[in-house]
Amino acid sequence: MIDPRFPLGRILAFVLPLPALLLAVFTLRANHVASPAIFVDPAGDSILALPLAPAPGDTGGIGRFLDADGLPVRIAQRAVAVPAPSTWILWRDDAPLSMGRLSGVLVDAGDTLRGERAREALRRMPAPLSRDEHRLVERLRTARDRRDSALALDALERFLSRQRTVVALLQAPGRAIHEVPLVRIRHVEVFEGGWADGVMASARRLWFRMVSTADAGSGGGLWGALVATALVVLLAGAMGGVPSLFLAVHLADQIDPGPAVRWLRWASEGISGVPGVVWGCVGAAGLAYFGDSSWGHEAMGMVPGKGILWAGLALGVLSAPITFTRAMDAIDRVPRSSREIARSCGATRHQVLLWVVIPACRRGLVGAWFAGLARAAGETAPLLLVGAVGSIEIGWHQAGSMPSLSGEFLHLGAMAYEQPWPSVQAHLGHPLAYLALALVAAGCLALEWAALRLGEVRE
Amino acid sequence: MAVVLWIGGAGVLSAMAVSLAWLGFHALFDAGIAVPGRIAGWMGGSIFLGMGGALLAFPLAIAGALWTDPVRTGPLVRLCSALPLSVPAFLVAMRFAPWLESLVGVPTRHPGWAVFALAWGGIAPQWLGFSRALALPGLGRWREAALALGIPERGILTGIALPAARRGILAGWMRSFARNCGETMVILLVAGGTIGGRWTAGEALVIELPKAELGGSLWLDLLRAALLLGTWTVLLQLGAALLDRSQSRAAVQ
Repeated sequence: MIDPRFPLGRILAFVLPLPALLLAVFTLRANHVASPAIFVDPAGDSILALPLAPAPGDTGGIGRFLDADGLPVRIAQRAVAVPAPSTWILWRDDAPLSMGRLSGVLVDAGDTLRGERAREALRRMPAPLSRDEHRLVERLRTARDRRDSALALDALERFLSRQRTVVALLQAPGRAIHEVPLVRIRHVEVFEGGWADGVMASARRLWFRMVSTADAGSGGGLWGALVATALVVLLAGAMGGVPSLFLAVHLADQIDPGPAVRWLRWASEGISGVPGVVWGCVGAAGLAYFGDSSWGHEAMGMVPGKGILWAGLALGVLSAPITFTRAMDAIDRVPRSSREIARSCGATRHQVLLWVVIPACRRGLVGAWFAGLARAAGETAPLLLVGAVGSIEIGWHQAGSMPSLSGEFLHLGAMAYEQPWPSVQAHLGHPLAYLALALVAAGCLALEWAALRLGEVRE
Repeated sequence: MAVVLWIGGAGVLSAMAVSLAWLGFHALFDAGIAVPGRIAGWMGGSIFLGMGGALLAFPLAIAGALWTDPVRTGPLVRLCSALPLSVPAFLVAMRFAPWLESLVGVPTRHPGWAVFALAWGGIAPQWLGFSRALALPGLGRWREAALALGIPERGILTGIALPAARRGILAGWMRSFARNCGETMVILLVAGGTIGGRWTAGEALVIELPKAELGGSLWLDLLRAALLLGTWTVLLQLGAALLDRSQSRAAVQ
C-alpha cells in the first residue's frame, strides 16, 4: 500500500504459505521410504516399499509375514487400547492394523485351528528370526547391493515356498468374521537407493496410501476416508450450495432490490460467520430428535443424528451463506444497463434472467459454488458431532468399502485429529495423519483456487 | 426441475433454521442452567483464545497489508486464507511444541500454543480484510498529493492511510476474532481437551455432546452454549459489516 518495494512486504508474503509448505514437507518426510528397501507388488499393480532396516521397536527384521497388501505383519496381544483381553491386534509396520476377537487360524489352505490351538499358533509367530529368514535377509541384502531384482525375487519365492499360508480369522465386536491373509506376494523389485529412486518410492507409497482398498478388516489406506469426505462435500454443495445459487439467481430477477433483498444479504453475511461446530450441534442434537422418533428410526432406518446425510446437511447449511454472498457479488458485477436495455427491448423478466444475467455471470456463479465447497471441505469439528471418525477401531472396517449414508463414517479431518493420539505406534498413525491433513488442505486450496479463477475475484 | 430443487433446498434450509431457533429458545427459557457458571466459563475460554489469537496476528497482518502490492499478493492472500486452521494447529502440536519442550521445557499442552496456532492461521484472513480496507477509492491520489507536498511515507501512513481505513481495519479484525472464537479443531489438536483447566464452548460441544443424555441438563447447557456462541459470532459479523458500510460511505463522501 505505502511502498510495495519495501523488503518487509516480500518477507511477509513468504510467511503466508508457510503452513501449507511445511505441511507438504513434513508429509513427504513422514511418508518417505527408508533406504535401502525392496519393492513388493502384491497384486500386480500396487507397489510398496519394505525397508530392509528394522523399524523402531521392530524385532523381526524385514517383517516375518506379509499380508494381502504385501506388508510385513507382526502379531501382538494386550497392546495399547485393547478393549478386551480376548481381542487380538494384527499390525503391520507400514499400514493400518486390524483388530477383533480371534475366531481361528487357517493353516495350509483349509486346516482351521480353533480356540487355544489358534492362539498358540499366532503366539508362535513373533518368535526370533528362523534360519531360513536369516538366510532370506542376507540374500535380499546381497540382491540389493548387486542391484539384482531377479535374485531378490528368487530369494523371496524360495522362502515363501517353504512357508505355510496362514489366515487369521478376526471378529470385531458386532461384526462378521473377516479373514486376514498373511502371506501373498507376486513381484519384487530392488530399490536402487539413490535420491531420485527415493523420491519415486515415496511418491508411489503416497499414491498407494491414497488409493489402497484393502479387504474389509484387513486395513488399507485413505481411500475410504477420501471417498466419504468427497461425498460429504458434494452433498453439502447439493444441499446448501445449489439452493443458494437458485435463491441468488431468483433475486437477480429484480432490477431494484427491495429492503427484503438487502435484509437477506445482510443476514447471510452475519450467518456466514457462525462457527461450523454450532451447525454440527444443530445437526447432531436437532436431527437426533427426528432420528430418535419412531417414525424417523423405523421409516428411514437411520442412526439418530449420525451419518453422511446429516453431515452433508450440516455443512450445506454452513456453506450456503458463503455461496449466496459470492453469487450475489457475481450477479452485482453484471452491468445494470444491460438488463435495462433488454427489458426496454421487450424481454420479459425471465428472458432477461436466462439470456442476459446468467450468461454474463455463469463463471461467477460456479465460482461461488466452489467457494462454498472450499469452506465445507475445511470443516472437521461439526462432522465429529454427526458421526465422522478416524479411529482404527471403527474406521478401518470401512477402509475399502463405500461409506453408508447412515451411521459412522471415515473422514480425512477426523483421521488427522485421531490418528496420532491413540495409535499403538507413532510410525503407524503419523504418516497417515499427515497425509490425511495434506489432502484436506490441498482440497481446500484447489477449490478456493477454482473459485478465484472462475469468479475472477482478484484483490 | 429447477422449481423442485428450489423448493426442496429452501425447505431444507428453513427446517434447519427453524430447528436452530426452536432448540435455542427451548434451551434458553425452559430450564435453568445445570451447573452455574459453566456456560460462562466455556464462553470465556472461547473469547480469551479468540482475542489472544486475533491480537497476536494483528501486527503481521497489518504490516503485510500495508507493505505489499495488493494486486500481486491478493490471490495468494485469498488462497492462504482458505487454508483450514487445523493445518497450523497440527504442525504446532506435532512438531513445534514437542521440539520446544525438549529444548526449553515449555509443556506441549500449554494454552499459549493454541493462541499461537490461532494467530498463525489468522494472519491471512486478517491480511485479506485489511487489504480490502486499505483499497479505498482515492487513497492512491491522496498519497501522491501528500508526497508532492513533501509529507514522508511515515506521515502518510499515520496521518492518511490508517485513519482513513480505520473502520475497515477494525472490521477485518472483528471477523478474525469471530472466526477464532468458534474455532474448535485448533484447541482439540493443540490442547487436547483443556485450556488452563477450562474448556472452550466449541471444545465442550465436540467432547460432551456425544456423551450427553438427549434432553438432559448437560445437553441443554450445551445447546445454550451453541446458541450463545452462534449469536456472539453473528453479532461480531454484523458489527464488522456495519463498520465496512460506514467506511464505504465515508470513502464516497
